[in-house]
Amino acid sequence: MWTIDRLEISGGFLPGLKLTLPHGLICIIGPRGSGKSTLAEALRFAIKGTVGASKQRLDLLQANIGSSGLVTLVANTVTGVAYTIKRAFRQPAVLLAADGRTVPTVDLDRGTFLPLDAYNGPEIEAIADEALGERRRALLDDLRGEELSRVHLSLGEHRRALEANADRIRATRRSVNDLSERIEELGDVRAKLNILGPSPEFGPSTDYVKASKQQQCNSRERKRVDSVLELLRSLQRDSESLKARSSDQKTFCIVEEASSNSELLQKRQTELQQSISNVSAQACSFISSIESTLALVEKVRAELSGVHSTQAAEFAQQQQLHQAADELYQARLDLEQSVAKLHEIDEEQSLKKLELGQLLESRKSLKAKFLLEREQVSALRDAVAKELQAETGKKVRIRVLRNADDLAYRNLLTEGLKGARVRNHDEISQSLLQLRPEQLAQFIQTDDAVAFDEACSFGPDRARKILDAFRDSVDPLELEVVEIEDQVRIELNVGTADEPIFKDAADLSRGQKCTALLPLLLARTNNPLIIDQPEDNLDNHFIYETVVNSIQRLKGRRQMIFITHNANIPVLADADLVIVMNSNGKIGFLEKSGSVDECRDQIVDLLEGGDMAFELRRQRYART
Amino acid sequence: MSYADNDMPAPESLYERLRRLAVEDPRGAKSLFLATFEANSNDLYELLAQLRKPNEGRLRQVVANAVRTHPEKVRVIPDLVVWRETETDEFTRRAIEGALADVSPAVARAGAPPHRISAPSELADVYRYVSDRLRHRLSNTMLSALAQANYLKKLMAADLATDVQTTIAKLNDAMVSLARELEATDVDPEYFRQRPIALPDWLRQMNTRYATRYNAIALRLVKNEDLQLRIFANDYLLDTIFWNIWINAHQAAGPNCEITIEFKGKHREVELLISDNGDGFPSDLKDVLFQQMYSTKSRSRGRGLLEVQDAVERLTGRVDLYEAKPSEYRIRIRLPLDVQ
Repeated sequence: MWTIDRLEISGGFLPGLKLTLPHGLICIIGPRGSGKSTLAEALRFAIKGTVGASKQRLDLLQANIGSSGLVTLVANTVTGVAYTIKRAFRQPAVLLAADGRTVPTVDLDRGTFLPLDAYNGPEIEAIADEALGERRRALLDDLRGEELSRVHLSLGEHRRALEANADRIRATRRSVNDLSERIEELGDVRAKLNILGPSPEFGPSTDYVKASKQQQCNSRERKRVDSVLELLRSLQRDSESLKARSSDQKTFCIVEEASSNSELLQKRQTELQQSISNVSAQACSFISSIESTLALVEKVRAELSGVHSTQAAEFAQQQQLHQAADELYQARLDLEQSVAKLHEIDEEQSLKKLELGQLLESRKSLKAKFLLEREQVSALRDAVAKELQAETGKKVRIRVLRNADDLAYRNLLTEGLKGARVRNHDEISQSLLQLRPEQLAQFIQTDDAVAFDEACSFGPDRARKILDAFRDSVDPLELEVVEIEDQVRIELNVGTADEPIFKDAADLSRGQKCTALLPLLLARTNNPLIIDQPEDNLDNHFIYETVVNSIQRLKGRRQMIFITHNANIPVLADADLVIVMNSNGKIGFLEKSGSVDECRDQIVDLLEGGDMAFELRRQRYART
Repeated sequence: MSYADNDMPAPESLYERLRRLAVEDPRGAKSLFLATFEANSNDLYELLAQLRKPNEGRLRQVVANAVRTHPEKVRVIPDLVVWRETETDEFTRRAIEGALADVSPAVARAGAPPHRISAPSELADVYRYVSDRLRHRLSNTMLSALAQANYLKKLMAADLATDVQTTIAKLNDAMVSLARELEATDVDPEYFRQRPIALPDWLRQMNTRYATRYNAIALRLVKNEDLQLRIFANDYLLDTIFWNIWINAHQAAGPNCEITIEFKGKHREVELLISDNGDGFPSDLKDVLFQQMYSTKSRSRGRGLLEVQDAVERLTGRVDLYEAKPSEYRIRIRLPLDVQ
């Protein structure tokens, strides 16, 4: 429990105001326009600044504190240490320790160092009106701030881990799908390879090699024969030349007619002639031999040509066979390479699937931790609600409806059903809302329409269509961690104690809203409480029976500052200090402060309508 | 050796396993619960007892979703009804509503679930008694099945397709009835344990069970508020008495059957005057009704009232007819009150 001990305002609408505030109940009274709300807002402003302030509050601060105003507040903490806060409009707060040193490490605007509960009428109504959303949850969550922030921190970590896990699952699934596509592209190569039969011997066949070698021999044979023919023809030419030259007698004439030796030579000439004739004859014979040899070689060549043609045809056949075998071999080689690739992809896919299985398995435990921690938040809220319920009595019922703030989930369901081509979306949504998001996500992931139908009784066709639609449009990994929150019900018994009829604050009139909220706000914490006109819209019976009783019970526990026009609060709850404000039209000022007895005249005048009005009422009621 | 003696972790209990599965693998949790539910062992009742604690919404939802379309869900309806009143988890609440959607309000209002206890010492006698009764019940049920089967044979010869189908349907019903009889006589020691029983409450619950198996009967209990109606009996004998009376009334009065039981306290016994909106028994039968096999329906029946008499006498009570209106006789049962 900490308290506000002193307040000083300089400048603005309440210049020079100085107040010392006791523990317990403090009531600020005064005519309208006397600065009561400004005083309450100055207290709030000093401690909490303007974070989250409504426009109405900002306007009031702007107008009544303004740039010239400075609010100084002295607070006393649980441990008895005093702190001074100085704050001017649109300026950061200055926090001073008891020895006058500034404390720069504390950010007052966060609201955790000196937590203050402060409400005005519209704010109370806003809490009452917001059946779903943060405002009501905050009323409970603030009371277990440390525990909840630990849980929320851990929840945040688990959510991030789940998101990272989801990213990895998606990436791994993509890889598995890509690999499947590649496997599909490769087709059934193993079967094709099987169809090709056993692997043939590598390289050309023996017949082909033999035929090929023969072709080489044939080529050389042809060359040899041609060479022999050429040589013989050359010899033939040379022989014919020899024959021709040897046949020319004149060429061999050695006789010179005019010479004395002619006779001798004539004799020899004859011998020579004979001899040359022999040569010529020999040449003819030689030519004849060559010709017969040529004929022989030509014959060989012709024979060889026939043999070569047959062998060439055989070789061509072998060559065709060899080519076909070669093509088959190449095709087999390609298929074998594809099979090897397929094997490689299969292995990679198996690894990816294994990884996916591990990721999904680890997701289970991550998800379990996350969901159980979310339940822990609800359990903490339940505990707070029970504690508050014990404080607030039977007129008001405070309940935590777990997972009832499920707008995000409902939106996902609506989106998911859009492409389902089924009727009665509302009815289907209602059935689906019997499943938690993680349960629906499991059906989507396993794509088990039969089990889905068993769970929801949509009928086989509808179940299939709905599941298909969800598979197309909803990511189950997002679905299973979709944000679902608790709903805090604050209900007022509008029936009787024997036959209670509880209605939620959002469905109540303005007065009833405050009636429902006020006991809760009074009992929530031990922090100082500032409420601007809590009795607005409340009937006096409730004020006396509930508000006054609560204040009396709680004022030893917390400091309560009420701006009020209702005499029951300061008088019957025995205010520890009554602050009477007034105004001269230009500025507001403190008219008087003191105990209820000391301020009795002002209370009667301002809150009861004066002595005469009070007396007339008393007489009318015929009470002594 | 206990688990504490070494480093081995203690095995997961059914409850712990279900709790884990409920968050990790909801469908696995449902399957596990259904297996437990169908085994109908003490594990089921221990689990349901654990689920009466607060903050068990997740498991309660597993139960509600699992039994939603189960033909035997009547066994957990009392638990579902209690949970519906206290459950704060919205998913669970919707699942419970879904499971109770087709349950009549009368059934939903049934009392707390039964608690099983260990077998009593007189169990052997009970078993002998039950086996005798079981033979009788089975033979009665089988007579019907066999008769339908014989008729079916004749129809097959005449080739009357529609009648064949109807008869097959009847034969099927008879077989189903046989299966139910077998199930009903599945001996649960608690079913035979003699204990103090508040008769009006017991009758209301029995009427609820009857409604789930046959047609609903409007039951009116008339008694003086101060009348103490606790008797010392067991479920089996009371079932034998009133199940027979209900069936007889049903057969006599038709689908809109109404039964009125007026309780009268007499010294140390209670008198039950039982009437229905049928015609009652004619006066010429009043002396022979409980002395032979009597039936207005067929020759093969008529043991029902003998069974009633037998059971009433085992409870040291008496059964007879009284004249409710001139020449209109109704059943009157007198049972000793539990003086403890």
